[in-house]
Amino acid sequence: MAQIAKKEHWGSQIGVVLAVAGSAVGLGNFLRFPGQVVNHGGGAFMIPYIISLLLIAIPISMSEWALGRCGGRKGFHSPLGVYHAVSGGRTGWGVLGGLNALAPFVINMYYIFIESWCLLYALQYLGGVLQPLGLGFSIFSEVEPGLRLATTENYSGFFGSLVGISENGSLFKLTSSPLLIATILCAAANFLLIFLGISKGIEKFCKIAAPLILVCAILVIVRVATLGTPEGGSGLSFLDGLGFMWNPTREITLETGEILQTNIWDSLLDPDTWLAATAQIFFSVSICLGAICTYSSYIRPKEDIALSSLSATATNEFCEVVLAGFMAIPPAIMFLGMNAADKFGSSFSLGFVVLPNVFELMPFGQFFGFLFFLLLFLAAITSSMSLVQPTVALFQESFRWSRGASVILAAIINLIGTIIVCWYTQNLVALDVFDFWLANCTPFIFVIIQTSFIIFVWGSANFATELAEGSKIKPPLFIVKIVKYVSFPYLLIIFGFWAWQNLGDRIREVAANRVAQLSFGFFMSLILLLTLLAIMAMNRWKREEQAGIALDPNEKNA
Amino acid sequence: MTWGGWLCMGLSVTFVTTLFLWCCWRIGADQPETDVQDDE
Repeated sequence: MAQIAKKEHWGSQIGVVLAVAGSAVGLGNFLRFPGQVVNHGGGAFMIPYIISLLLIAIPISMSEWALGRCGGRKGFHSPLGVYHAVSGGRTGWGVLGGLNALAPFVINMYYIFIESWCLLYALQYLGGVLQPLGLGFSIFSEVEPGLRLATTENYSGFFGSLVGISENGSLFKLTSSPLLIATILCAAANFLLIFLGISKGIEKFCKIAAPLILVCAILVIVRVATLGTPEGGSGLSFLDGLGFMWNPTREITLETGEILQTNIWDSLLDPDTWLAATAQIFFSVSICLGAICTYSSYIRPKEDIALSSLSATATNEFCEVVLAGFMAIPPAIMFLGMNAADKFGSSFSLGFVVLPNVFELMPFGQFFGFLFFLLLFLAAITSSMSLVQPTVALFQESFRWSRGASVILAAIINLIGTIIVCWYTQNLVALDVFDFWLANCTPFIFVIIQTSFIIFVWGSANFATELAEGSKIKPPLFIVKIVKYVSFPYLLIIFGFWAWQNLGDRIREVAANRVAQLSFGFFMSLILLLTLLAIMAMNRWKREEQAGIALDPNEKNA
Repeated sequence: MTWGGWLCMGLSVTFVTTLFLWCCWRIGADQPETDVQDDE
């Protein structure tokens, strides 16, 4: 098999841990998790959540780290190369590995768009548009500096007009849409950091961004926790807000108006709670998206991947449970009362409608609003870098291109998808279709493919040996057995339930909606492209192996 | 906030924070004095 000489590595263990944690920590941690807790039994949600953390997130994450490092040792960094090398050149598995780059790449196409919302909101708070104080500039010509929007309805309108929710193509009708400019800037920043390389770009940025996220979050939490029962609020205190989120005993208003009280057992006996908790942990840790596999392939052979994997997962969980658990819901309850609760279910609604309203009412809210959206922006950009790197590695290895050329090709394809999302903004249909099929459905399929690959192709014994290699924390051997006998069947059951609940409506939507069809056509084109690329690359590697040639894709850079 | 809320929140936060701090401690203990630089 063609050996591709290794040139790039992470500079330090902390660097790779922060990069993987930065990849996992995103908007889902800060905006999706609190809504899921509130809507699925409060504190009761945490029981299936912690069980899923122990039985799925930690073992599967470790298996992906081990697989990635094994592929990296053989000289490959893309999921295609890793699958090809580990399977001994089997074409079918290689193609599946190549397709593993699809989900992260397409997710990045709309994630950049969302990233630009965070950037614009942060700049707006800095400029003082959503608050009367500040520097007094507005990047939106139609919004006067110092304007108070006052209600969630107004904030909802503001958000809708910002993202062009009323009409397709509305963002392109403006002579200079700030959102499109911000999207271009975010894309440029992303691809520039990736171009700079693993150690000099991604790692250096994550080493700055991750601690900054932590500092911003702690400052916002300290502000929220010291508000007491704020004037101009709903009359509820911080503890009431925490109680609303965490109490396992809950009151549900039925359609008839009757109030039903549920306890912890009602929530635990509801399959929806288990499905929601497992899906949340699964999406949050970002397993099997290709990012961990690619990132871990750049680790040096003797490093402790068991500890690195556990640390990245623990950092993600700390941000989600501790930081997000205190930051989003309590202030919303304190200032807006229980009436705002119906908006907690949607991440966008909580983040871009409810919380801006809260920051308007909060003392020094402009500053804390800026910190909050800066935090979201940094969390988003560290995630989006990890979404592109598998594709860049794929192009480098398949075409024997330099990093620069691979980054340019990835950026051009990425731009096409981003334009589709930015054009079809009416009710954010394109974004929703991209999100459902690539960020929700495909990762489930790939976690099953990858776990099958690890168990049945690579083998449990190889996984155990790779995990133990260089490990100082002595990972217990039952981790391997958990992946095989618990995580894998557990995931199959959860995916079955999830597909049964969601797929029917979504397939009907594709059949009926033109934008969904267009988006689907785009996905199919990419699948075809990646399949052809995978077959071409594997044929080339096999030819090179037979000829005894070992080409280094980085030689052109050197 | 009910006792059940305190219990669920307390146990979750304690578990996650302990895991996070333990990992920080182990990584800190394992770090060489200077970072390893690229091969390039």
